[in-house]
Amino acid sequence: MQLNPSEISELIKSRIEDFDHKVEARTEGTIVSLSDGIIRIHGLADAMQGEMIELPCDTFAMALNLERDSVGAVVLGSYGHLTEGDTAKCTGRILEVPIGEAMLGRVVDALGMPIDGKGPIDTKLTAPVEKIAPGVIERKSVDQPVQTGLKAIDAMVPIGRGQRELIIGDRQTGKTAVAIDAIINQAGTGVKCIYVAIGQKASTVANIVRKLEEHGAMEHTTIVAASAAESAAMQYIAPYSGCSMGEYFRDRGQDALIIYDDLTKQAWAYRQVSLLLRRPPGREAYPGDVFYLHSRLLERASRVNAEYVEEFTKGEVKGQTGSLTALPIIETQDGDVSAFVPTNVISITDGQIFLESDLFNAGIRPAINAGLSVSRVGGAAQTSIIKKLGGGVRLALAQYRELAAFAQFASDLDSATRAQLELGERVTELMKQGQYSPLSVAEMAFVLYAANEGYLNDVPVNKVVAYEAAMLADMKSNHGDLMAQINESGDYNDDISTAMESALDNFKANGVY
Amino acid sequence: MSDFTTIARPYAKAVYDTAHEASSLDSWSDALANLANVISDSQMSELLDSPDLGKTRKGELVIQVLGDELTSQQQNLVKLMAENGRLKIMPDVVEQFEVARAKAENKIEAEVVSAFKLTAKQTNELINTLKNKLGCDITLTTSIDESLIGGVIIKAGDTIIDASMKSELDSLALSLGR
Repeated sequence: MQLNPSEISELIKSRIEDFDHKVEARTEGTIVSLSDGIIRIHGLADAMQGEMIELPCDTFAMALNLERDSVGAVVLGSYGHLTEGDTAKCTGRILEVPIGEAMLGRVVDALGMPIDGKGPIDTKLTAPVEKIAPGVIERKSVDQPVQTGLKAIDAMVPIGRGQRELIIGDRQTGKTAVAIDAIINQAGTGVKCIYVAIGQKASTVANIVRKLEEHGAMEHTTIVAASAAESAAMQYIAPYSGCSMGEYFRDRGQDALIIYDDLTKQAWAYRQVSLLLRRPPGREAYPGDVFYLHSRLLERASRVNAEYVEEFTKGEVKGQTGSLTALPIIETQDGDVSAFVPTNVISITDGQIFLESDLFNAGIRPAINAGLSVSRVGGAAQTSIIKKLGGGVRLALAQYRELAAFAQFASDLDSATRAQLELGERVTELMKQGQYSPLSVAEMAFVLYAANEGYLNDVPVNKVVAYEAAMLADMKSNHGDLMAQINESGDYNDDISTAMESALDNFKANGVY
Repeated sequence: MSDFTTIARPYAKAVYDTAHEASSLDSWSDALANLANVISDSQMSELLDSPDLGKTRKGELVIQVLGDELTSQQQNLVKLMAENGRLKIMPDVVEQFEVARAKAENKIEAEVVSAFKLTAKQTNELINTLKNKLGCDITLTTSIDESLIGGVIIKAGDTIIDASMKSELDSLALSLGR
């Protein structure tokens, strides 16, 4: 037997002294039926929608169906010990989770309780899991970038702070890898991250935690895990809990990034709860409000203006805007983006990153389909140097895809077409990037500059990756101050352009790869 | 039990309205209580479940048991419920009838569970306090449960006021366990 740190006599004494038991009138009902985690309660005439209901043995349920004679509620957690006839009490509180800085670096369940064995979390604040998103007046347009550190994304589908960018693709196409790389790249930028794992294997979550720790990204990250073994109710509320934890930073003038991995499984969990509550099923057996399920969640990811932050913090934080960027993940079946949930989420978000298994199997990783991936607001937020240099890459890839299909049949191509094809091949090769190796803005700028200005033309296609690695190493050792300058300002002007040109010329003359 | 609340509601409302219009609430109250007793009787209950008897016959049986105690209107209620196959929900109808009556008469039944027997003074004090809080006349029933250790639990309809030593200790245990 081991004593907990909280079991010191003095502490226990003070807690007993401070213990305040208030006698209050509460309404009480009786459980009349219990099946698959859904309870029907008779009584509780004044229960609220979404209210926490107290059941025996420190168990709670959330009221979801308020009917004339009964309340339908879903038990949060295990329900083995409940029986018909048990009493259920109203608590007068909507479901809440703990929020605050102390949540960073921790792994919690959908109710915000720690599950990483590192002891209790010292938080003073709680927030309801369901909140209304900021209104029109409180918002500000997106104009700052979130650097994911992935060339293909930052150059072609840029993400801004406060944007909702969907990551969509079949299983095993690297959706989670993109998200994890984005989290790792936020180290040192002040962007706090929340990773919500819904319906995943516990082993996968453990792996992610380990990888984030290895790359020093756990300090600025909270992981909310509702694994496949947990009840459907927990999987259903996990994204909302994570969102409330992220809103803490947004409302206090900071920036946060939240990843929902993945919303398909959340929709499944909600479908299960809804069907058990006997709500009428609609298309694909989802209930009628499955669109609202996702739209109200993603609408909470936003950029808020300085006035909102000032008012929220009662004047403590002035002149700072806050943001919550969301990267929801949707898993498609056999590339079918026209299924119910994918189309819903595509229409809610501000763009999507489309990952394809064909590309993935062809070794192009991240397997981003540049034609179908778009970002509707991120362009305004792109770093100016990446914006200037990235445009060419996107164009080269678009033209390459068009020509590549024809070129299969043509034996005799004119030189302009051949040049276009060769550039396309090299750019495709150049957009490959290993996992857990995010690039800085300056590194990306050099890579893009090399592609735009024809430095790759005399590099054989199979040497492009080696060229990139050698070139970046050379730039780091010989032109560190230029890189630092680019990283700092992100500006692109003639001076920088000339400096980059001479650096690359120098590498072309002397470099080995 | 409460599964029948929805089905019993229209019957209870109709019965209450009839009784109220004829100002025969007491007579209906007695008759309904008798009916509920008869129908919940185990032998009767078995008969009513039996598929051998027709719906009308079941109604006649119930009326026969109570004989002349039922007015023609009350007999009609039994016949109607028998015809609809709803005789078994009589106890719920009675319950809702009494609730509607208590509500109309601005009365509420409160149950007090205490660890020790309450003195007459304490009971009166409780009644007065509850009257002020709930704004209606209180009929108090008391019972004793020694496991409460001290204090009282008051139940009035769906509302409960738990001021017992036991619940205080329970919540202290919970808060220390965290």
